[in-house]
Amino acid sequence: MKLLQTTSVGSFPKPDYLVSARNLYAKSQLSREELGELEKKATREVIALQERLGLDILVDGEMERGDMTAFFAEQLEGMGISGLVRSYGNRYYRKPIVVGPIRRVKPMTVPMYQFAQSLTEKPVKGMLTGPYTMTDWSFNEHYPSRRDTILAFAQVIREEAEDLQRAGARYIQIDEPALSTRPDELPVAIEAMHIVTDGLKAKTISHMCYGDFDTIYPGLLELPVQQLDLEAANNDFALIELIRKHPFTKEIALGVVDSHDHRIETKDEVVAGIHRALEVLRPEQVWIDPDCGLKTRSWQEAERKLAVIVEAANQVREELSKKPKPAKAR
Amino acid sequence: MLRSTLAGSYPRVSDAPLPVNLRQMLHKHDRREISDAELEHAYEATITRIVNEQESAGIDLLTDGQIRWDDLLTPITRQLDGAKPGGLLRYFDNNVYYRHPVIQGPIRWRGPATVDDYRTAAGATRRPVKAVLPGPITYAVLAEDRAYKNFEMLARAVSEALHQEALALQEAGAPLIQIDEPALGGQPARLALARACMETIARGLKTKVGIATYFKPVQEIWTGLRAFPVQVWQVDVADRPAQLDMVLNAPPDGEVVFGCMDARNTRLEERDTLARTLERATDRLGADRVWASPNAGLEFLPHATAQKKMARLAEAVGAVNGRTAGTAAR
Ligand SMILES: [Zn+2]
Repeated sequence: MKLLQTTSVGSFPKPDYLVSARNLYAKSQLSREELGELEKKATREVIALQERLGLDILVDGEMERGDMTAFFAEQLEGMGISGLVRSYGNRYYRKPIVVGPIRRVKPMTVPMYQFAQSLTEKPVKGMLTGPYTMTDWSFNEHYPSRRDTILAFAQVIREEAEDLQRAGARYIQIDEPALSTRPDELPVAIEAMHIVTDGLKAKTISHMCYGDFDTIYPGLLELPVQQLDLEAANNDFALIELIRKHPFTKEIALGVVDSHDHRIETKDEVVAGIHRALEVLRPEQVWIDPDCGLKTRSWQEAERKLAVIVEAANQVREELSKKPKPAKAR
Repeated sequence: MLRSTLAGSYPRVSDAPLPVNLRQMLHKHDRREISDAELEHAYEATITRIVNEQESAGIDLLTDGQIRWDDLLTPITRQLDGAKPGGLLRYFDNNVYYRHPVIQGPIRWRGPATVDDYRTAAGATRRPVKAVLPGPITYAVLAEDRAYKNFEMLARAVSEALHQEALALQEAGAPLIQIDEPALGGQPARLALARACMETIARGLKTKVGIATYFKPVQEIWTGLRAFPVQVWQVDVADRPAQLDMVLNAPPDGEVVFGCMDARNTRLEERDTLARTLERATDRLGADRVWASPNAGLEFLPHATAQKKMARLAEAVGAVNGRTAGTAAR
């Protein structure tokens, strides 16, 4: 098996023509079909870029998604979208609202997954937003409790995961960036993830970020996925010290560049980060990627950050291949 | 008589057309299409609109809506020597962000941060307007302390600065200065420090001082919290209904603001449900010591929902007062 496989978390920056097209579509000046063609064009570019850079596990870049919860809310029965609420400063968004029983009417992510996978021999990850995050980032006017809401989302996300698997996805990522916001709810988040992943044959992954991981670690290791995708670069690899105290029992996709910073990390910096990680993790356990989705970066920044990741992973992989294997019995 | 108030923030933009579109004005200002003075006028017009909306809904004690605040901490941070706004982080368990204060040197208050907007709001109504400030514990919890490297020293330094701000607000006529401590519920070990900090802030003030708690549960700290040297306590009883009994079983010696309406969910509360909660409070404490309020700032909601909730709150207060008046007449 190739050590230190490289991947990315999910979203890519939208090319300018797609941003303009989405605005026109919002004003009904562009048809859904015309927008769809441009989304495919952008997806081709995202796949081509990842192939050119030599990443191992690819993503479709989420060119057809605006926000990671609204994208699903818009397609699910029982959900609406709120008026404007503020995100920060002068930035506003529309928040999903659960208004009735949540039901899936049709596959939501499968067509774009299939399209992206048809463009490459390398595996493309299926990408879903987890039940806990869907709940935490929506208003709820229907279910009596947060737990009921979380479990209802789990059911529809399970259906979607099965469809992705049926369509050929070997990797299914269920993002839970909100997971660390209420540590006391970790057990119900875990219960919900069981509904989503139990019995799936695809490798399951969950990404989380902006986290106070120390409040949910090591309990987080109970989350029923095979791989956790976690940020390390933007908090100076504090995660490594946590793992030093309590061993990490899953695979990890380690964020080694900051997705929210314009600055491009140097190869040496990233290599040093991977070295730090390998003090507490076995190389077979580790994948390498950015901290988070790259949608807030420019196309050039995204490209350069991913290029550094690939170079750094290549260098460390080389070092590891030269290192004599430690004798098994001593 | 039972009275109503808001917790602090209020939606500054709307899906409905407004006489002044602050969001657009800020964009125009960014592109230098309008002058500082024009933007200033837009801010003032927005404060006036928000004050008028509260008044016509029937709210008794108003706020300026915090329309210039990017988050709870940044307005104060900008007026402190030794502190500057840092990067964006997720704000408690909300899908919104704040700039965490970076502490680089000794904290010193440079001059009023909130007084101008306070005066604008107070000048736009004959009803009383309260002032709101972030609490020192919350400030220190959310800050990145590169200077003191000591939580207590930082919290005490921030308290001295807040004391200056409170004096300026008192001079501007604020009948109540509310100190928001959303983080306090999660910091039971810092209760004694929080109390000492409140003493610092309130030192020599003649106007009322209140402490507002929300987001985190306060059951664990209630015994200590109810003995704080303040005149008003705000407690969430909407998202955390058990806290109603907590207060009623051991009320503080002063006024209590019952956060009986959920400011973080669009579901509209029934008038009678609200009235029942409030009646329990007035039966126990006497109507003059009870305030009805949302449990947090209304800015988490779209404008139209915030307006409906505010009107519903005032209706419930009216219903309780009507019944009490009826009883008194008999
Ligand atoms: Zn992320």
